[in-house]
Amino acid sequence: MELTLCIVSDEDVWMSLYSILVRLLSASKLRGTVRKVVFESNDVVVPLYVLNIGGHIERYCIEPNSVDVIFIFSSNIAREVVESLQTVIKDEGKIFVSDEIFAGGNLEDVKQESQTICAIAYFLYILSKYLSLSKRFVVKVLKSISNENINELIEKYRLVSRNERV
Amino acid sequence: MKVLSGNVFSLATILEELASEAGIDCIFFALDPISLKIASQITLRRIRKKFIKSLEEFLKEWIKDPRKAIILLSPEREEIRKVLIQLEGCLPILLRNEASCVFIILAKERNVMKEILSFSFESSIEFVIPPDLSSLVKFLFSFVEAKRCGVIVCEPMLIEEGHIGFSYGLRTSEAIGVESSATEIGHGPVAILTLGAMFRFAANIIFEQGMLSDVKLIGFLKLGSFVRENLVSILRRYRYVIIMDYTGTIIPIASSIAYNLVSRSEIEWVPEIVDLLGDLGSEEAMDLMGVTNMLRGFLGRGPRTQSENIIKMRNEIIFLLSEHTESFIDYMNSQTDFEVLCVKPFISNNSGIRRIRIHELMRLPLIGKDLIVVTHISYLIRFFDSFRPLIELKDGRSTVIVVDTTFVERSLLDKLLGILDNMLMGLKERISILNLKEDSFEDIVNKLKKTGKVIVLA
Repeated sequence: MELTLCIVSDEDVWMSLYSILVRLLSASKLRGTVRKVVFESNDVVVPLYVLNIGGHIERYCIEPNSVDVIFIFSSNIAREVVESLQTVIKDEGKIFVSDEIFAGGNLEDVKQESQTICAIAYFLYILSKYLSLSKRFVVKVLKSISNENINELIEKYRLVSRNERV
Repeated sequence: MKVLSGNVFSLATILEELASEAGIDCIFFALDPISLKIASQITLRRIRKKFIKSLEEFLKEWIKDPRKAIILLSPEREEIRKVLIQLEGCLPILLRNEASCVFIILAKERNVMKEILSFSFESSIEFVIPPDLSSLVKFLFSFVEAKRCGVIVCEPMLIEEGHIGFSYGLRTSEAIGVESSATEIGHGPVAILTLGAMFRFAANIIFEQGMLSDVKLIGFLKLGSFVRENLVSILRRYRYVIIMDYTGTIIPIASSIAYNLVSRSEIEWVPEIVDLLGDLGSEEAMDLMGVTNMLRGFLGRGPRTQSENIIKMRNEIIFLLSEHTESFIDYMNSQTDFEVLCVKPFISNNSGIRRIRIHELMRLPLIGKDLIVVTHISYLIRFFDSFRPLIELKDGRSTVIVVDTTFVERSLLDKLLGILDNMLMGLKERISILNLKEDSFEDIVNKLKKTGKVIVLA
């Protein structure tokens, strides 16, 4: 199965995501290609990490209706950028904005570092659904990233149900 | 066969592998965010990383200890000419000493590429522009194994590219030949000229659209004074020439060569030269569907219409500011109305924050408002003279210099802070250094009220 994702994030979050992606893809024998492009929309520019898993893209641009999921791990992103990004999303695709993902979780009281881990956890959760990876496997990878409150975060944001936890 | 560790194929892993194979124990990195990002991705402990502020500094180091070396640098547009002239002066010294040094210029944007291209046509240096990572490997090995010096230019597409989960044999990877200066694909009557990574981009369009019998795709992978001769040969062979050069450098040269050929009756036709990316109507961005549609239009394969949903991309490297820095700026703005400026390649999501180039800093003292300037620590050190007027100004304005430390390893950060401390000697009573990780937003505001100027590490 081929999956194309776009990620908007700062470098700290991206570096964490990237190290996990390397682990996840290597462990699951999947192949992926990452390219960073700069997306332009009405004088607003956004760096976009384009990740293609399972396929083999040789492109330096994105075609309309070609992306499965977009993750925006960045607050205050201009509404017009989000609207422009809709053009690259497939009909059945989805945009996840971090603020909306955690709207019910009240992240105000969570440390910055934990927010990053939480964002990564959610990213992995969505990825596992699209790639049909077992949640058990995903949690194993998650646990290898950081031991700090990871179970608590997984439980708090219901990323994995109780009986699926490792 | 050597296989890349960790199954990741990227510029950083290529450098690690090459250094291990060729016995290079030290890589030099210029102090700029892009070179530092590559440095942060190199994790092999036995490779020493040395950080330099200029090519002169490298040369001094190298003279003390002549050895095989790889040097990474990502110059600013305003300093690229100076760097290239220094390189032209540096290379003969290295060649006389039979040195084996590979300079990798990380071209972060269109204008840097444009300067390099214009310089290359008149220069004695041969610049290599690999179209993909596999070709980069081949070029690097060809320089290192022949024990000679070389200059490789990496475009933004190559710098920020990574393949995960592949097992690559460095010596067996499929790549375009390194011997010839131009590579050709297809056998049609229309020539398409491209450079570096754009060659790969165009080749994909041509394969996908089944245009192999319509066009002859010619990719310039090496640049130097010989490019003029290549252009003459192409214009003698083809009546229709489409140029896909996002820097816009080739088109005036090709046009003047065509004019000369026609005026001297060396060709019996007036060549039709089309600037494909220029015709897309945007100086900065390009879009895949637009390029494909225009190409099909020129070849008579469809109307020259553009897609309604144009997705524009730029060939540029930018980094988003961290969330914490963004929230600090929001907090400061809620206290007082600041003019917030962000020095590229860092940008903010907030459309109210103006993006400036490092050399625009000189104009800032003319702005009458309180200022927040966000920059990378490497720029603050290298271009301190541009920041000095902001710090020395005694007009009662508040100035906050937010210094991003992304990609800077702990040991390097300590050294840089030591250098910064020396630079601020004599200015200590006017400015304080605070840290976003240690000091609260309120503490920073209180300090700012006392001193009027603060440097905040983020």
